[in-house]
Amino acid sequence: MRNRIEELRKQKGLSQDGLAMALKVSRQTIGSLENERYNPSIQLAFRISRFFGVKIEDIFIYEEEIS
Amino acid sequence: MKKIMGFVLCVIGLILLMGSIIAYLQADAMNSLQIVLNAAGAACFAFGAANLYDIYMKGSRKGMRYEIEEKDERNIMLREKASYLTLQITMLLIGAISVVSFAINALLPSLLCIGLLVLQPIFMALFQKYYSAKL
Repeated sequence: MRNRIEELRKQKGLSQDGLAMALKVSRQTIGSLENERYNPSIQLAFRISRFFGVKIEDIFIYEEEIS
Repeated sequence: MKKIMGFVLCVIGLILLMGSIIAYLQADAMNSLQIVLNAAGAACFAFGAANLYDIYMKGSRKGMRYEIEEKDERNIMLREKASYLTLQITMLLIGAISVVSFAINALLPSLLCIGLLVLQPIFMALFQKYYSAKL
C-alpha cells in the first residue's frame, strides 16, 4: 500500500522523531511506514489521518495486487 | 505496589544467595540445598531487579520513549514473529536432543523431550482456540 506520510510530514516541517512522538509510535515505525515496508493498523491509520487533518483514503492509496 | 514488590523480591533474592554462600562455607561440596537456594535466589533477584528497572524506566524522561517503544504496534508484531521463529528453532533443538538422548540410551531425557514435542502442538491448538473465542 502506498502512502503520503513523508510528503505530509515534510509539509508540516516535522522530523520523523517529532511525528513519532506525536503519534506515540517509535521512529522506526514512521521510517517503515514512509518506506512502505509496513502497513499500519486501522487505529494508527486513523491517528495519522486525524493528526494531519486529512481523510484516510487521501493518505493511504490502496492498490490491489496483481498475481 | 510494584515498587515494593520489586524491593522485596530483590531482598529475598539476596538473602537466599547469602544463605547459599553460608551453606557453601559450612559444607565442602555443593549440596542440593545450595542448588535450590542459588536458583531461587537468582530468580527472585533477577525478577525483582527487572521490576525495579521497569519502574525506573517508566518514571524517567527516557521512560516515555521506552513505554512508546514497548507499546509500539510494529514492535509488538516483530516480537510476535520473532517469538514464533524462536519457538520453531527451540522445538527443532529439542527434537535433536531427543534423538541424541535416545541414541546414547538416556531414556528419561529422551522421553521428556518427546513429551515436550507432543505437548507443543496441543498447547498451540488450545491457545489458538482461546484467542479465536476472544477475538
